[in-house]
Amino acid sequence: MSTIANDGSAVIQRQIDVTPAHAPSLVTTDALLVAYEIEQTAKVIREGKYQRIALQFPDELLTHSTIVSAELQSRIDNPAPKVFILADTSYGSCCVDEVAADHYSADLVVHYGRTCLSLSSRTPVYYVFGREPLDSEHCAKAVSEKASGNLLVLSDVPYAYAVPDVAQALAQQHIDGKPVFDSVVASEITVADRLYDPKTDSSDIVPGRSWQLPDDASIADYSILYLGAESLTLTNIMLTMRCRAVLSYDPHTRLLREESHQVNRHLARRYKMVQHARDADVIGIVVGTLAATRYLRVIETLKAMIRRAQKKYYVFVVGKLNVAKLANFAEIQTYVLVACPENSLVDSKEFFSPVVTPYEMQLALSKSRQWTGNYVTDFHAFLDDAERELEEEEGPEDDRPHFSLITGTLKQNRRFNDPRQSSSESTQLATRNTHTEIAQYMGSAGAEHLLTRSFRGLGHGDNDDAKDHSDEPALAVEGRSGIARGYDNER
Amino acid sequence: MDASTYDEFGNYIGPELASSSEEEEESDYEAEAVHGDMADGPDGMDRMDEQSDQEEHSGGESGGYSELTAMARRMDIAQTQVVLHEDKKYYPDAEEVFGPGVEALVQEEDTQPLTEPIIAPIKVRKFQVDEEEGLPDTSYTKEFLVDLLGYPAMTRNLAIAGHLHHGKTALVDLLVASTHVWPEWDKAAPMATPTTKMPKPSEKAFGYTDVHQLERQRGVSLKAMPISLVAQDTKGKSYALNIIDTPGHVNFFDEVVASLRLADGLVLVVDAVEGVMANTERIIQAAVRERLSITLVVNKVDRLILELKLPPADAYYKLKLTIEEVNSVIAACPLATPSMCLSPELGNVCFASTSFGWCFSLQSFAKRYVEEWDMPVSPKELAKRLWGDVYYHPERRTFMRKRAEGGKEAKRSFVHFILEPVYKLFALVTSEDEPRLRPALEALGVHLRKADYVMDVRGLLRRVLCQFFGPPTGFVDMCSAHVKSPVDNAAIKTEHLYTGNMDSEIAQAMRSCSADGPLVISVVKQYPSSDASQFYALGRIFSGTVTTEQAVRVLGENYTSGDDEDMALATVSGAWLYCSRYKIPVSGLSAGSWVLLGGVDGSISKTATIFDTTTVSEDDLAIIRPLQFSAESVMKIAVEPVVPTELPKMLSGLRKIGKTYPLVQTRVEESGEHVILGTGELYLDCIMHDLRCMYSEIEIKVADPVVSFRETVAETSALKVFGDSPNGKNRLTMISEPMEKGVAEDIESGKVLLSWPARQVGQFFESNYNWDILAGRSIWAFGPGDCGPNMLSDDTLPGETNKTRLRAVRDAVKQGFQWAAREGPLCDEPMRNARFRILSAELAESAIHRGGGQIIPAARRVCYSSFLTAEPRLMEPVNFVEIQAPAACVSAVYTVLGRRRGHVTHDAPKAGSPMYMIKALIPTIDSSGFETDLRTYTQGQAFCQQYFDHWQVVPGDPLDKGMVLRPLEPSSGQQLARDFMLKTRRRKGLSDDVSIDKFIDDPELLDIVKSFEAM
Repeated sequence: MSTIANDGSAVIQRQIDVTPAHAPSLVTTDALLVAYEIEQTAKVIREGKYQRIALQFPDELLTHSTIVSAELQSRIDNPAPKVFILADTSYGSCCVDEVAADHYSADLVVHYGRTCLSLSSRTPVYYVFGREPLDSEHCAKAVSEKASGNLLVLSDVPYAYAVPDVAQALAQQHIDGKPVFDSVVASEITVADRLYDPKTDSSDIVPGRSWQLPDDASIADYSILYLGAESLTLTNIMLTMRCRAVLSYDPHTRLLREESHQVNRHLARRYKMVQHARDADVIGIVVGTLAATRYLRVIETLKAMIRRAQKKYYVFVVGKLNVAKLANFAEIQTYVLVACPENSLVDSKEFFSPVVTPYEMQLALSKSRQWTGNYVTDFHAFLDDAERELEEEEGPEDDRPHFSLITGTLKQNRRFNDPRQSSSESTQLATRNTHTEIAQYMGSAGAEHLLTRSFRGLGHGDNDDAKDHSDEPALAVEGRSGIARGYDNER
Repeated sequence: MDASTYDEFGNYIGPELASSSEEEEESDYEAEAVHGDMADGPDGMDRMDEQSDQEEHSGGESGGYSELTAMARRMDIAQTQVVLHEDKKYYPDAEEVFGPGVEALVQEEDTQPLTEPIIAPIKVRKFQVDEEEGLPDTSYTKEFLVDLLGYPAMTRNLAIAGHLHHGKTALVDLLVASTHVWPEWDKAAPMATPTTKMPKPSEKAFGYTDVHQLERQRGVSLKAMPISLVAQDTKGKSYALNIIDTPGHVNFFDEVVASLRLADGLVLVVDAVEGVMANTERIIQAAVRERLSITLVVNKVDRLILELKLPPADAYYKLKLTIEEVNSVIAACPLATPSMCLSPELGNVCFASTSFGWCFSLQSFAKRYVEEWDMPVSPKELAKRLWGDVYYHPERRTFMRKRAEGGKEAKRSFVHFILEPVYKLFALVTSEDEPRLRPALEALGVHLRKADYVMDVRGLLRRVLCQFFGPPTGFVDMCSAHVKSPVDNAAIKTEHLYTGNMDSEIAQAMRSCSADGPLVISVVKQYPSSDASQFYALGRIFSGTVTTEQAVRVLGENYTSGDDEDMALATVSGAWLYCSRYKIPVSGLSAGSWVLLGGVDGSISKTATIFDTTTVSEDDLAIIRPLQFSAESVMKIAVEPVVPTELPKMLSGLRKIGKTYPLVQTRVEESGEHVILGTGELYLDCIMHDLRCMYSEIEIKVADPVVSFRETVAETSALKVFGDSPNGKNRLTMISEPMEKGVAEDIESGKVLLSWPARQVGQFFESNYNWDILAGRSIWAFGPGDCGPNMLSDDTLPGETNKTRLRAVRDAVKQGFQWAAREGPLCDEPMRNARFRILSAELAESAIHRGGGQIIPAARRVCYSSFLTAEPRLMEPVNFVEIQAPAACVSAVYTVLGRRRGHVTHDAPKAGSPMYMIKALIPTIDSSGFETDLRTYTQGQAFCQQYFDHWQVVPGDPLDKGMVLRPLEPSSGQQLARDFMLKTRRRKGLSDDVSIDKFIDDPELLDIVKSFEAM
């Protein structure tokens, strides 16, 4: 809200706490060249003959951005492509900020740093993960002391290069002449070291990590070793994988931790949110990404599901979430956040209404579906499931009240946009009350809420602050269209 | 391999290994086959297999062709005949073997365990005792009962309540036995009182209204059960009695409250020896609150004779004491009037020994005398002289007021006319044997069969007394005279309960109990069908007539005329008179009676109000007030299905539990656990039984019981704490302080409501708590909810703060406060007894900058920070315990209590009994298992009842990090608060640390707060 009111100086002066990327060695340009894979990047650009290249940096790597861009620029001179730096991304810096890239008509985005690996929908992307040092021998030793059996090795992106090494080292661990691990499977990142182009790559690429388990094994038989510090990626892995145990090895601190027991607790808390969502009549769909492929389809699917459940939805685009932004809409009882897998798990304890993921919303809306402890954050899995379900479950639901586990009583849900309410009712005369508002709002949740609210928007007759504004209603005027760099009428 | 040489156990049974003559083998098999026929089916078949191998020599693969042989024999085909392969019929089909209509299943391998039957028997789901053959025979016709209910003036609605084991169910049994054909009752011998001797199951008389499995197993009522019957008073006039028998255990007090809602009068049952106990007191208070007339039955008079062996004169004093105890409790109630006083000569007290099958009032006893001796007085006049300081001189045959006048001869009239004959009868029956007893009894008009005389003495005594006293006409007398009929009571009940406009058409019809008015039914309880698959709703018809197939509106507890969310339409699929073990189907019932409705329960959680759809316009609808419980559910258990996929079953079970237990709460906690909140151990135990056996039929894991906590403050905030909204344009300053003692309780019980005009609220606090008149008026909100025991008030000064702007954000601040009060900062438990005062507010000029999004989170944070600077404390629930123990056990009771942080508040012998009564307080969290512990320690001699009493601050500072908690060691003393807080936080998945830093942005303020903390 503050950006509307002030001149924006606050934003410029705002200090952001950034944990410096732990790579103090990256002071020399040579080190930077290696870490940022500048040679390879230049090669990709030259091969693709890209002209406008956007370099997207997360906040913590921004200090290197100028050097990297200069170096990169110097290496690609065929007929003078342009290199831009993108920073302060609208949503999470883990996603490719396609919209920002579009503003500069970029034809390639080079993404640096941590990423959630959700794929872009239009622009080709080249991911540079950076490489951080990892002592695979130490790691393998530490792990073999704690775990045995089957092991699947996953990693945070900076350590992706080291996964095969670690897997090999693990396979060589022996105790009393026997190998410690029955089987060690290394994962790989599908988009590592190659250009991803949504136009040419077939859409069935599963984003993120992939691995090949032996045919007769399932993930439930495996323990997972995660290379990297505690992060959203790790949380996400722990939630979605029903494996035996999760170990995490932080190469920086060289510590091995067992993570598993926290998961159930975390899941259980999400369960409570699902119950909240079940009770909600008015739902806000918050767009938390503009990059991940299929986010539009997810939103459409959610809309269809909510409509079928005869609840009311509103769609919000608020940029990065915060408490104050969402608390402005008190009539919304639950928000569902459509974001990349790593950003969609919001701890909404501080929020006025709970924020759930699309999968949780689906659980809440579906009568047949039940909470099993399985969890989906990935759009692909969610969409496959949800769209199939939409086809299967037909017809409006019954009118019976459901048993709310939040209040412990039966709750009669309100019905918005009920197809059975014939339009003839809307022709009835409605009575006016003292405020000369028409009391019948045709099932509009927002209008109903407006009645009970003290602030009712600008230019409303009985508003205290109306002195600046004319009380007269004005005709709506068409605004400007285009993007902020140059609106259509400015061209 | 020749399998045939081995039997089914693998033992070698073939010929001797050396010689292998085929003939020998064959004979062997024949012998075996005969043997095999005698064995079980499958074995026999195996044997046939073997045989066929031998005979056919055709099977390269052994076995499997047995059927062929069998068939071949049957069909008389010569063994030598050549049959082409394609013509051979290898197997007879199932129809040929077993006849038509039989499905044959062939399984290669036995996949089912032996324990599992191949064809599962049809499972009969039945959790209740019902009359097996429809409606039982009664002394009246069912039509008569239903017709009589059409005359509300001839109907009485009674709730029978009392302390545990004081004989409520037995009293109902007495009424049932006098009107129903009930063989079980006739056979059963009276049950000895529990303190003297545990009855053998065989000799136990089951209560007619104890129909639930558990009730019968445990011998204690757990559910309030109604029964409607016709009974005659002493004059032979018939009354229709709607009776609801309530459980006596304190945990089930909610059932009593629900029952009182239905009734017009309370029949209080009190044990003559034990007198008024904890639950008796609570029942009286509840009945007075519900504005019911109270009548008393002094039960178990036999205990005075058989157990305490009191002489008649002392027995009188004991009875008198018991009645006076009741009277003093009634008098202590705030709403009681002198007219509610109980005394036998007024006719509102009966004496009974329900286990021996008798019950009389003074009047019914007097009538006996009058009729027997043909006295020229009315029974009423005689009855007046049979209680109190009235003495009878047998020589002079006069009554007198003073004993001195009659000298030694004169005896108290009650002793002379009533107690002594009863004593004599007891003495006669217990001491004499048949030859001498029979003539004596015949003279009294008691005719027994020969078989009766060989019964044991208790059984015989019951037979005799049952016949001697006859049906409980005195009880009917008492009820008809002292309990108002539904018509007379309608106005009182309507005014007390109806929330709508008293002048409306509906209210008028309710006040006159009109059968022609609009239909109004108050549903208070739901009962499962005997297979627990559906629910019926029991309610009282306040006005109108309900018929089957009628369309009705069902209004839930949250219905208000502006918000019709909590309303559902339903059709009455059936209407019955509910008589515990049977239901009498009726086509319609009218105002004043109770009705059991089918088809309406779909939207009812606990209680509901039912209106018809035709006669009433929607604007006039208002609900009948939901039940008000004086108790709170504080004990909680977390449940989880053993097999996670069975969660839906458990949820539907929980839903049904919520319907049938009035005070239970089921919900999901922040931690994601399903918790059940109940009043006590027995309560939760019964819920778990119902959940596991009746409603879900799955295995369920249960966590150890825990309790809810509350968060409170001990001091006023150390400094004024302010907090900014996210945009930095609004600043709220607050302090937090504890409220005066009693304010929280007043808010909770609804003694002060914010829906009142501010003036009245101000006056309330001015007169009751000496508040400044303005302080009372500036209260903005109670929370959480409308009656939460916390308060938000606006103490800003007009000079400092822009009041107009503050008023504009009032709703948002209130929401923030409600949120904070619902989830306290210590461990997410609700706050209690905290008052938040807004001292100043700087608010943005334009409305857009002080929207809800800015103010709500800010208000919540300031509430938290002011709370944390005001010495936050944790509160825990405390139970009141009443322990009844013989004198020798008292010290043991003290020991047990001491180990559980309990302490004794009162300890005195019970007058006229060998027992001690100990009243104590014990923290609820330590009370689980207390009862078992107590009984173990006292060899089962002490008996306790406990219920939630109040909230108490847990010793110690929950934020004191200096407290070192050692794992696996019980915390004590000052460590407790921190221990409870941390464990609750961990259970809920919160971080261990509670830090004020999270709630204060301003670094300077934070420094100051920190420095205060350091001090």
